[in-house]
Amino acid sequence: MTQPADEPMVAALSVHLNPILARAVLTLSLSRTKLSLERLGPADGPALQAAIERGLKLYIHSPPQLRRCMQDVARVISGVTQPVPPPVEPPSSTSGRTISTSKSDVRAAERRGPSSSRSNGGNGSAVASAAKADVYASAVAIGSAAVRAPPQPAAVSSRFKMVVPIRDENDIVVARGRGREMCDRMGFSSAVQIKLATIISELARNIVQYAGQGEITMTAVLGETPGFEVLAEDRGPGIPNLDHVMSDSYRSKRGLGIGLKGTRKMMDEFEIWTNPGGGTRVRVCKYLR
Amino acid sequence: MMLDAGRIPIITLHDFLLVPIQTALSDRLVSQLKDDITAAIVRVAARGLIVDVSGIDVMDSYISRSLRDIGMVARLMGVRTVIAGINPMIAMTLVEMDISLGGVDTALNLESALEQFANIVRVLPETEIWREE
Repeated sequence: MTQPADEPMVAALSVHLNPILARAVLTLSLSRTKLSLERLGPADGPALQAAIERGLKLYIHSPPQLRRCMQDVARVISGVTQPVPPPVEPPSSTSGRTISTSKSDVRAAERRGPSSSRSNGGNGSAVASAAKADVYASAVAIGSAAVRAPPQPAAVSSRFKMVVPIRDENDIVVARGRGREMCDRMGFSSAVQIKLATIISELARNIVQYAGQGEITMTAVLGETPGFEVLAEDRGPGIPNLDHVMSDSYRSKRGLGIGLKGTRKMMDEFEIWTNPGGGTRVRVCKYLR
Repeated sequence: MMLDAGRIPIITLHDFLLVPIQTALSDRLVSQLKDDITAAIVRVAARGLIVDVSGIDVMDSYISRSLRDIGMVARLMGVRTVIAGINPMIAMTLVEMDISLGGVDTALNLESALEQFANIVRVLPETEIWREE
């Protein structure tokens, strides 16, 4: 979805629909039955809603079909028989720009559905980030990596998020496997999938090795620049000698000492915050081109 | 023979060892594999070692370093190691991350790895294959 005018609709519906699956639709695979979206009527609304809450997968064959698909789904869910008119507001006011026909449904689903964790784009996360701001106040500049406040919820049209807790080394394998799956569904080439899986593996291993435990949050970012974002957070000892770790001369005891450096090289965005004694947070993003 | 699910099998093929890695490697599997390989080298008096990584999911810096270590340890024990079947996507990732396997020999696939050993041992068609315990 590149046209700003399309964003509100995506934002509204992505609460229901896994947007990472939303690259591809035409056929809905509704409990093994393939249904054409266009053939669904208002009477199918409850069934579709239930299916979505169960994790219904949408397959959209090309991005241009996304909008039409979203409209159809909105129509079916909300019981409106007419196609949803396109939104008219300017593209800047993202919040509250959900299409009115499905707004209440979206919110209801947000309260009860499994996708409630996706409400990250909202205020809750902003508060959380603000609370963490002081922890990461001592951000350290690494080469070209930007130094700025901890990540605020980005102004993207929609996101899908997966959190993998990292407690021991087996979670490293889990995290990179899930990450690769997500990348695959988003349409990344297998070369990039392997790169991202490798990055996730590096970040997760750093958590296990140095902090003991933490978590990896993987986010499918849609919007103007769709991409895959990985956020690795821990409350471990931090990296006291970050400049050294990121320099060419560094060699770690266990790995090759190139985990973070290699990660920075391969990703489109790389940011690291560390606070000795207060944990480390690494955010990387790879664009879906 | 029972195949231990928590281990990478090591196949003895005449006097060299074949290690097919067909699973996602956890750190524990990797370190177990290091121990198993060195023990197997001594036990069968191996002269060559082929590690087939065609089924591996990723090679991050830890896994790469471990494979390199295995190759270096084997070399010190007089055993030549060939890592076979690094898939092109993984190879590109290794290059981009500046990961090197430190001089351990590689081969496109298992066949060419076996060819590299042709001067050490001739693989007969009726080669008997069995797995280590």
